[in-house]
Amino acid sequence: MFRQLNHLTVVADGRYARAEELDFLREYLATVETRISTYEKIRAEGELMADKIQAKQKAENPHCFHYSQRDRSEICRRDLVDAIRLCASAMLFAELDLMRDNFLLWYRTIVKAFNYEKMADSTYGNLLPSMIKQLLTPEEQRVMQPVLALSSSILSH
Amino acid sequence: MLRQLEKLSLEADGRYATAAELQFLKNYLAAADERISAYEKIRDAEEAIIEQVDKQLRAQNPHIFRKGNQDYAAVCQRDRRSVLRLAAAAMLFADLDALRDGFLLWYRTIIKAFKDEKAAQATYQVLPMTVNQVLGSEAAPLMKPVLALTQSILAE
Repeated sequence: MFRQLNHLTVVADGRYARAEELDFLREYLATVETRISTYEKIRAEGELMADKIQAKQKAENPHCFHYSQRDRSEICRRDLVDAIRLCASAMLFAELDLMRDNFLLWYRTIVKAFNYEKMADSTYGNLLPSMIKQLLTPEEQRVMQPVLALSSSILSH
Repeated sequence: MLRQLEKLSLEADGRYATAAELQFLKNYLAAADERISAYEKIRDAEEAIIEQVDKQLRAQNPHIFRKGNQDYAAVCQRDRRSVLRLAAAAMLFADLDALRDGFLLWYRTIIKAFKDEKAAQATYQVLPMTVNQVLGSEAAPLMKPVLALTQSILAE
């Protein structure tokens, strides 16, 4: 949305913006209330969701967070809490490109470097989307779905 | 609005945005539809507004755009068009600071350099009234702050 909005302000400097150029603003504004309520729900539940996701993963395999002979649950939890917040923010501002370029692609290299692919797959491909689905109304799910799909496509294989 | 929005998105990178921070988004949203339709009204009535202002100014003083032997009406009209368009954009994006810093303060130096203060004063007194007439009572309040800012800087 920022790129489009920035582009629009530059355009509107030199000439009047046309109807079709204003459409994206209308479309965004039509969903803003849903975006805000979704954001607020995730803000309230983000940490709890991270705990629940980890608890499920540990229930399946108590050693799933063991890397290099140590339990890394804390670090993984911190990353998950961050990722959930960034997903919510990308949804709020309808800014998936920035999310992909500034976070997801970088985080994928971390996931690969630490051989965390299986866990990332279970987190971003499965548990997080289903948990968020439970949290949100169908309307809210619609605004959140694109960012979850993007995260899943990049972080889980 | 844009600056606040970008600032908010940076803040929201490191922590969740608070309810107070989201409030400005809600406030903008509340009037956004009206802003867009006011913008479109001005866009579609540009010719009429510019002509109307021209007519009124000439009625006040037929030689208002004359300097020496030259009539600068065309140049002044071009500038007036730009002012109206930029003011409408500032209203649309709720970004008066950008209008002041990016245009009005610069344009004031031009007005002073060419000693056009009198014509500017007359123009930016008439412009708000004409815009008001075109927009009607619902949309006019949205343009009021922008036009007041324009007037205060260009017609002092």
